[in-house]
Amino acid sequence: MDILSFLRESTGRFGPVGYEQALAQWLKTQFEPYCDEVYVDAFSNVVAIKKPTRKAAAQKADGATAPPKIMFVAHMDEVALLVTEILKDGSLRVRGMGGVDPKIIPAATVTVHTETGDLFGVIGAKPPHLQAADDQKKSVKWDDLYIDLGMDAEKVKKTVNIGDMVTFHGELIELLNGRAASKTMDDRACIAVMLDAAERLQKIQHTAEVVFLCSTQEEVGGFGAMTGAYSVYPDIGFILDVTFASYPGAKPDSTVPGDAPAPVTGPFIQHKLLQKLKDTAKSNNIKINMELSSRGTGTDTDEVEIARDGVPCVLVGLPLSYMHTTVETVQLDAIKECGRLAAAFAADIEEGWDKDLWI
Amino acid sequence: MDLKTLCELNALGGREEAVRKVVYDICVDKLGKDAVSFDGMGSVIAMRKAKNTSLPRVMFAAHMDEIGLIAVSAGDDGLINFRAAGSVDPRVLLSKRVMVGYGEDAVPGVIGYMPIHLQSSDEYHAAPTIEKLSVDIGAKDKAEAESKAPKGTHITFATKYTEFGDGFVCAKALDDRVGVYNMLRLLDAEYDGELTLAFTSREEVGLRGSKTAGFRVQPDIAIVLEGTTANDLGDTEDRFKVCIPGQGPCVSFMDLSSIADHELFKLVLKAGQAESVPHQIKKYVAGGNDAGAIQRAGAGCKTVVISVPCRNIHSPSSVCSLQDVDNQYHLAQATLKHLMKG
Amino acid sequence: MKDLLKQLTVLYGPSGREHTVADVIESLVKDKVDSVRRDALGNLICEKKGTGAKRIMFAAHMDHIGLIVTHVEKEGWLRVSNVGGINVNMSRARRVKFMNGVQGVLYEQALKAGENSALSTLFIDIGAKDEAEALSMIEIGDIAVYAEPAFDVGKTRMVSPAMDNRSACALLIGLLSNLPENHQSIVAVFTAQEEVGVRGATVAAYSAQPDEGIAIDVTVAGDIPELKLNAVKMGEGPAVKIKDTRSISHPDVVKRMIDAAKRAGVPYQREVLPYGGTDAGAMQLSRGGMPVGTLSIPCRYVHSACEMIDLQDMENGLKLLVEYIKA
Repeated sequence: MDILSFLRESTGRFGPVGYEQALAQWLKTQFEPYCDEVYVDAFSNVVAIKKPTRKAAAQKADGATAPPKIMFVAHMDEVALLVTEILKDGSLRVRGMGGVDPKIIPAATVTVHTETGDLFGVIGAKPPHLQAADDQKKSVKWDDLYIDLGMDAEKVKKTVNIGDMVTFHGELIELLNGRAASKTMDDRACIAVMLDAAERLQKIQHTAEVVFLCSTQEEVGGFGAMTGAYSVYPDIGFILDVTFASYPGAKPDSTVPGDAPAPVTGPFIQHKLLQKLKDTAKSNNIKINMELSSRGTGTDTDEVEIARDGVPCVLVGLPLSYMHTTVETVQLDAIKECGRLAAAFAADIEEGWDKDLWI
Repeated sequence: MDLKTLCELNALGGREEAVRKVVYDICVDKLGKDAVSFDGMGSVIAMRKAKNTSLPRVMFAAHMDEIGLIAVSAGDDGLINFRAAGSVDPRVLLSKRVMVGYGEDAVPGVIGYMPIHLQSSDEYHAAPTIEKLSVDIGAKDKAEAESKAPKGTHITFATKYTEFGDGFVCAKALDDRVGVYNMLRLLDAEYDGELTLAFTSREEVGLRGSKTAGFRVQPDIAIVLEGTTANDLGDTEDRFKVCIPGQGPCVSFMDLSSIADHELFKLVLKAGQAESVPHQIKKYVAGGNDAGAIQRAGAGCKTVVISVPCRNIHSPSSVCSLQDVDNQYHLAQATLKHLMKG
Repeated sequence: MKDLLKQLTVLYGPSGREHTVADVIESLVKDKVDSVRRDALGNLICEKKGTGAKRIMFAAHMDHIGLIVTHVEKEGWLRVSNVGGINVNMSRARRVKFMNGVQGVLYEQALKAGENSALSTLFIDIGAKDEAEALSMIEIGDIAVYAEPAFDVGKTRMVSPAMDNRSACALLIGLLSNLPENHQSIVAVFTAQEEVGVRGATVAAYSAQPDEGIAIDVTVAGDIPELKLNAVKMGEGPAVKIKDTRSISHPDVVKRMIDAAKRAGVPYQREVLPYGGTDAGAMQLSRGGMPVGTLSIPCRYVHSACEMIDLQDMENGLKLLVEYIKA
């Protein structure tokens, strides 16, 4: 697959938190070439299933044993804005959908999605000429921001509704050294990882049933992963989400180098599965950098592992710079290495994988 | 299995093996292998079948994990930086002894601090933060520290279990080894209905293992056995004391994670009264525990929490009354007796 | 609707102690539905089969906020903690009552210089002269609620401490009393413990297993002096919720609710709430998930002792729902 192409197209598609329905239908078509069965569930998650290519010994004997089921998870939703008020002058007030920093918004261009069609908008910024001496030192607040649609108020009121979605502009550009920047690399770059892994698995034998879950509403609490894990009920969860790549002035121990997958260690991760992941990386010569989450991981992992009566999980981070901006930057090689690690790990799950898991 | 042994086992959230093994072996010994299983989070679930299926299905829960620290990196000076696993006030960490790692690979360490002689006035008045503290295991450089304590290594308090005063004990992890201790005793409890003992994992890092154990069992009634915070010394106003060690296990009408089923709450008090088990009511609403997750697992159940009052909870030196520990068991047993009365 | 509302708002029912409310509602609806039952958390769950292909769960919570007694002082003062979102600023010089009928005054102690108001600075005076007398009247763990009676204002408005959420309960009872001939199957749940974290709805949705969930709840009306909040106004119709902190309504559900309002010929508003959530947040996450929405009743002074709603918004809300469940 052409990762760059997929990234360019997927990051450009409409899919704000809670409004992923159309995106889910498109992602379904992306997984179909690699999987035996793909469907969209009640929460708009995409569930793509690749059946085992070889039977375990135990299965051959009684036929009734189910193969181990591993579920990869990456989320499809993006952070966005929604219209909360239409002012008398026809400009719009907005709030974030998911964790949006108001500081990145002044002078941004956006699309306002109305019932009757999409509108181009500009987020206003007071010109320096009219600012007070210390205005530029103040942080940006939601109530200082507004969207300019270039239309008079009457027309705006007829066209725009409270609650309309607003997405950012941020098309993909290539930088030096195999890097690319775009909006919504969080977390569509990890969906690219899953597709890459699915493609690799066409050529690797595996005993496990491999499920790829493109989850919805991660940005507001991992809701798609929660309901998806309940429905799929896997034996193992393998979550892929972006993590913080190093940047100048970063607090110590809060980032990882940008060039390699970053598995997470911590109380929310099953430690024997993590050891297995490290072993898989080593035997496949995949460089990894460990990351610590001392409490919740802040990813879909937190919801998957407590689905039903529990799912042991591992989490691998794809390093990304400038998270939740429209210039999120990743290294393409890191995406490929994550895909390689994911496929190898899935292929390493044999019957008896859970022997001594807890004792 | 005695409380001393349990308290001195090292087991933070996600790495409860030391306690899990002990608990598993005892449960299998008492109930047989078929009665004991793990859920997907490593909780141990031991189930006694019902002799009388018209009685409510009861589940007790206590968590195996304790508060501690996790290594995150090492400096060039060989000192180990760490984060908290669970809710820890950094101020209780100064000048303490710890164990870094588990089992044979574990090494002792210390958490030191700048000597008072060298502190400026500002530094003297400032509170320490976790980021400024480190563990010294005597490593000569970064490489040695990282080999002994790679990122993610667990660090536990090195407190020795010590009985003192009139029936008090000072130890680490009374929260919630007291509950584990009493649940092991309850394997023999007198109750004719279905009885499950769930030793949960990862409570201190977010009330995690109880959710999955609760979902697996989906009892009619769940009783959580915990250690809870007592704030009774140091000239505290009565209404902020919460509960008083020595006056019996305390029963909660509400905490931040759940409102106790009112009838069940009253039944526990009544049982304590009738069977002459000293007990008190927890007179504060604070903190959360496994009850909330279990109450809302699946189709829901009635819950109540019975806790041993512990001073200095979430520190290396918790203190509780041994009588209270014993009475937690007796109050649990009395409650079962009264549930059988119907 | 007016009489029903007056009847429901005086009932005692803080979170965790809703059984009185459940008993009264059960007596009002049991002849209109196929079955009623209670579950472990005290939810009242009513089923009514319809001819439609879908099974929709409606959730209206019975509980309201209160103050739980944690300690009795030697002088007989009761110290309290909150059950649900109690606003300390709304809690001075209020009349309160307990389940057993004991009444009292909720007030604040004299603050020291620099001390801030908090739940710990409040106390209840039940007229006891000391601790012993107080404990002969109430028990630690008892819950007090604001006790003003309901009263009418203007032509169409009513005030009570319990509009959140007895008004929604009245609306749901109204729906069950006005079902069209062909309708979707309904699970009407009068939920418990919403104010402490949508707890009742969590377990009710799990056992009911509906295809879709609609919460009915009050929402904050932004139309009082100097309140810079979003645009929901009292008297301009029920509100169709787009988003709050617990849930994002499914866009198809939003569209269906708006279409239902249009067909029923009633005014409606679109609502985005920056804080607060409803039972929809719990229903959407049950098992494998489901699309959800919320119908909101605009309400001024939410979580005070004087919550105000407009009966026209309720009548219009009822028409919208009746149209919505047509098969």
